[in-house]
Amino acid sequence: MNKTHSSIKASNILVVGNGMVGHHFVEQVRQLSDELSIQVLSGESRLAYDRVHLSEFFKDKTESGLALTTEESYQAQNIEFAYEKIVTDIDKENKYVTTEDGTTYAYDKLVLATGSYPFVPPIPGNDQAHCHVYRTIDDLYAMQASAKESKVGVVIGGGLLGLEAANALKELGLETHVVEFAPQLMAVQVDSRGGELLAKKITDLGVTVHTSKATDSIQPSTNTRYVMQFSDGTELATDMIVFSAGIRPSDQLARTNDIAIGPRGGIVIDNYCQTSAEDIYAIGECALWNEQIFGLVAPGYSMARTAAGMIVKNDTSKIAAFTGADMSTKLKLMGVEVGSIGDAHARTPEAQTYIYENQPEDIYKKIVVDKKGRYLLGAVLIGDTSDYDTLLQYALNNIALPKNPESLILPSTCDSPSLGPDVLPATASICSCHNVTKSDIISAMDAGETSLAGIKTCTKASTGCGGCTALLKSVVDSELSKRGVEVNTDICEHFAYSRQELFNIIKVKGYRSFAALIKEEGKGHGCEICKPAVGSILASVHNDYILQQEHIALQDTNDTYLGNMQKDGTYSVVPRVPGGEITPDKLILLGQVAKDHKLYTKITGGQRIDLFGAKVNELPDIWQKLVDGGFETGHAYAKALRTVKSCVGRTWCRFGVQDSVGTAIDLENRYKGLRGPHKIKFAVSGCTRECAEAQSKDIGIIATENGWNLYVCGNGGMKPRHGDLFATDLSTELLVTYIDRILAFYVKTADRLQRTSTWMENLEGGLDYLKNVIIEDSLGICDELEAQMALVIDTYQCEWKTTLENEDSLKRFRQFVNSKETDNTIQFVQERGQIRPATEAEKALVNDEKNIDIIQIA
Amino acid sequence: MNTLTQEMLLKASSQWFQICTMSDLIEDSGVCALLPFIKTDTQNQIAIFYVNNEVYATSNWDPVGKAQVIYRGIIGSTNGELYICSPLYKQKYSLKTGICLDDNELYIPVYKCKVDQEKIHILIDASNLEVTQ
Repeated sequence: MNKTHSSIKASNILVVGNGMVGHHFVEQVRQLSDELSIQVLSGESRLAYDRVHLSEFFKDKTESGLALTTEESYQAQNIEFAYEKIVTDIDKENKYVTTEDGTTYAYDKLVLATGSYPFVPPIPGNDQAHCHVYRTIDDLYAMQASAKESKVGVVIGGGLLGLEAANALKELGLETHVVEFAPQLMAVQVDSRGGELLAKKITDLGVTVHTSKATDSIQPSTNTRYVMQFSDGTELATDMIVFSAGIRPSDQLARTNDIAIGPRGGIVIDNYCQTSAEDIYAIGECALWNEQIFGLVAPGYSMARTAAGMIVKNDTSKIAAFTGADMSTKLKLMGVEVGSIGDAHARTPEAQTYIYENQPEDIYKKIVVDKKGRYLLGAVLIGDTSDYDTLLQYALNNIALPKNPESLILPSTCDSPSLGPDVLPATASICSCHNVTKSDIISAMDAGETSLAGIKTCTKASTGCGGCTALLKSVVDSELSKRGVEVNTDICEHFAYSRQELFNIIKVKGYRSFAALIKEEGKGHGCEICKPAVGSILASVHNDYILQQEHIALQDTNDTYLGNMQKDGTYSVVPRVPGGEITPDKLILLGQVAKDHKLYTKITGGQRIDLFGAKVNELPDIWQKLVDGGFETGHAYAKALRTVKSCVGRTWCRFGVQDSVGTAIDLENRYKGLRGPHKIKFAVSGCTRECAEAQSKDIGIIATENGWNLYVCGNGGMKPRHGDLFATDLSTELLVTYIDRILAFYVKTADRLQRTSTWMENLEGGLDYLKNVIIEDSLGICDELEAQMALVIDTYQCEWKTTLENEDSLKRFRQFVNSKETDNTIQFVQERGQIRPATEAEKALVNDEKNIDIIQIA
Repeated sequence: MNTLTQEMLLKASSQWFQICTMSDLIEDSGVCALLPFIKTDTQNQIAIFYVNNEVYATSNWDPVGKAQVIYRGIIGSTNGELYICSPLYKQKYSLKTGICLDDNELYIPVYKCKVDQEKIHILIDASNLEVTQ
C-alpha cells in the first residue's frame, strides 16, 4: 500500500488509549524526539499498567506494582494526559476529536491505541452482579469485592487469559473451575496432547477443568449464588463468574467515523500502521494487519515502534515496517511452564513431528519440522520450557537443524546440543518485547557498555517479560570472552578469587588470619577491598573478636572504632534495641548519656536511637555507661545484622494475629553479631496490614492466622524491591530453620557488598532455586548451613563489652598517642536545640575571631 | 634528639622531633600524633603508619573530606606501591609521596621518619608552619 505522506512535520500527536501499547508508543516517540507535543487520552482512571501480569495483583503486587509509569514521569517528559476520556467523534477534515463529555482535542497525527474488550458470550444471565470480565484494574477490584462474598468461582474460557484469570480466583482463595467450550485448554497455542497434560497439571493444583462444555444459561440458585446449565444437561454451581472467552478489537471509533475496518472487526492498517484515513494510525489489539489481530504485547510494541518512527521521521526508508509478528509465547501458568512456538499444530503441509513425553514428571515436548527435516517450524512445551530459547532461535532465524532434531528436546542425559550464542546470526532477535537483536547488544558493547545491567538499561533488552534473561546473559558473556575481556570476578589485584571462592577457601582450609591467607593464596599487601572482605568472611566463618590484633588492620574505620564515622570525623553511637522495644529506664539512660556528652539524638528508621557527635576518645566512656545500663552494641557500623523492626502485634493491637514484637526480639537476639557480605535488615509484622514494612527488608515476616509468611530479599533504599514470598503459614520453629539456612547460604554465596536483593536477582534459577536449596535441600548443604549459623550464634559477644575489658583495645581510642588534647578541628553549632557540625564557613568565622557561637566540647 | 617544645618549634627550620614510641604504633594500621603549638588546625596533626617494618608519617588532614581522619584509613597496595585509603571518601594517597593515586592534583604532606631506640622521630620543617607565640 503506497500512500502520500504529509510533508509537514507533525507537531501535535494525540494518542487515544494508554494501555501497554499506547504507553510504549509514547515512550518511543519521546526517545526519538523531545520536541513533538504529545497528548494522551486514557479511557481509564489511571495511566498505563502491566496487563500481562494482572493476576499478580492478587499475590504480591499492588496497583502501583503493576504501573508502567507515573504522572510525575509523564510530566517530566512533557507528556500531557487526561483520564476517563472516551473519544466519540473524529473530525478528519479539521483534525480534532470530541470526547463523550464534549471536550475537543486537536491533532496533527492521531494514534488509535484503544485496545480490545473482553468478549462475553451471549448466555442468558450473563449480566448479573457477580459476573465479571478480566482486563482492567477496575475489573480486579470488582472481582476482589465479589470474591469476599463467594466460595466458588468459575472462569468461562480456557485460553491463556482464562487460565490467568483462574489463577487470580485461586489467589483470592476460591474453589476454582475453568469451563472451556473446546475439547482442550489453550487450543490456540497448544496441541491436544499438550492440552490434556496442561489440564492434568492444573487439576493437580486444585483447579477443576471442564472441557467441551457449552453454557446455556446462568440461573440464580439456593446453596450457591448461581448455577450454570450446560448443553449436555450437566450443571455447575458457583458464586461468581469471570468471562475470559477471547477479545474483540475496540474499533467503535473507526466504525462510526468512516475508517476502514475488517469484515470481523479491527481497524485496518498497512505496514506503517496507517489506517485508511490520512494522519490517523492504529496500533495494538485494535488494529487489523493482513486480516490478523495480534493479542500479545510484543507485536503491539512492534507496531508502536513502527508508528512512532513513521510519525517522527516521516520516511518509510528510515524505519522498520511492521510485517507481522511471531506469536510464540513462553509463560508460567499457576507454576506450570508452557511454551508454544510457531506452527504448534503442525498445520504446514507435510510437516513432521517429534514428540517426547515423560509421564512420571508430567513433561511433554513436541517439535514440528519441515518435510526434509531442515528447519524448525514450531514446538509445544509443557512442564519444562528450558529448551524454549534455543528452539525459538532455530525457528525465528531459520537455523539448520542438527542431524537428529529430536536431540533438541530429549533430556540432557542424551547430550542435547544447545544453541550457543555464537551460532546466532546478528539479526537474531534476543528480546522480542523490545525488539533487541544480537547486533543491538553488540553495538551497545562496542560503545563501551560491558555490564549486564548496563546493557539492559541502554538496550532495554530483558526488561519486558524477562523471558530472555538467560539468553541475554549468554550472548553478553560470549561476546565479552570473544573480546578477550575475561569476565573477571577476582575480588582485587591481590586475590585471583571471587568472594564466594575466598569464602570456601577460608572455610575448607581453615584460615584464621588475613596474613596467612594472603601469604598462601594471594599476593602483595592487600587493599581496602580485600581486607574488609576477608575480615568479614573470617567473622562469618569463625566469629572471632574483630579487634583481635591480627584482624585490626582489616577493618573499615567504622568497625575499627565500633561506631559510624560522620563527615567531620566524629562517630555516632547506636545501641541495640531488639525489636524496637525499650524500657523507660533505658530510654532515660540514653537521654542521660546524650546529655552528659552533649550528643545529637535522632530516631533511626530501624526503631532505635542514634547518638551523634562523639569524638573517638569519648567512645569508651559513653559505651561504659551504656553497657553498665544493660545495652549491647547495635552493629550499626558493621556489614552485619542491623535491626529487626516490628509492629506492636497481637499483644496490644486489635488486628494483630501473632506476637510480632516477641518474635522480632527473639530473632534479633538470635542473629545479632552475624556478619555478612552487606548489612541485613529484618522486620516482623503482626498481621497483613504490614505496619512493620517487612516486604522491604532482607528478611520479612508477616503473621497469618496459622503462623508466619516469610518474604526474602526485599530492599528499601536506592533500588526498592519487594521481598519474594518464600513460604507461607510457617511455625516459628520452621521459620527460624529457614532463616538460618537462607542467611548462611547468602553469606556463603553472595558477592562482596551485595545485598540480598541483588543476590537474588543474580541467583541463577531465582526464587525457585533458592526454595529448592533451602526447603528441598537440593544441594545437600542444609546441615552445613545450619551448623555454620549455630557457630555464629553460640560465639556471639558484645564487641563493646569485650573492648571495654581489654586494655590494648582501649588504647586504640586515644585521639593522640602523644597528648591528652582532643581534636580541635571538630566544632559544633546549635540548631533546633541540639548540636550539629559547623560548616566550613562557620569555622572560618571562628578562625577570623569573629563573634560566633561555636561550642567547644572538651 | 629532642622532644617537641614550643621554643624549639619557634627556632626550627628542619629538625627531627621525637613524637612517640614504637609501642604506640599498631601494625599495618595508623595512629595520630599532635604537633602542639601549630596555629593552623589543618597542619597540627600527623598520621603515623607502621607497615612491613617501616614507619611512615603523613598529615592527618583529609583535604577532600576536610577532617582530621587520615590515620583511620586502611593501608593498601597497588602494583607494590603502599597507600593509605581515606576512610571518608576513599581517595588513595601514596605513603611515600603523599600524592593521590586517583587524582594527581591532590596530595597530603608527608614527613620523613626514623626510629632510634624504639623512639619515633619525625623531620619537621617548621619554617613554613605558623607557630603560636
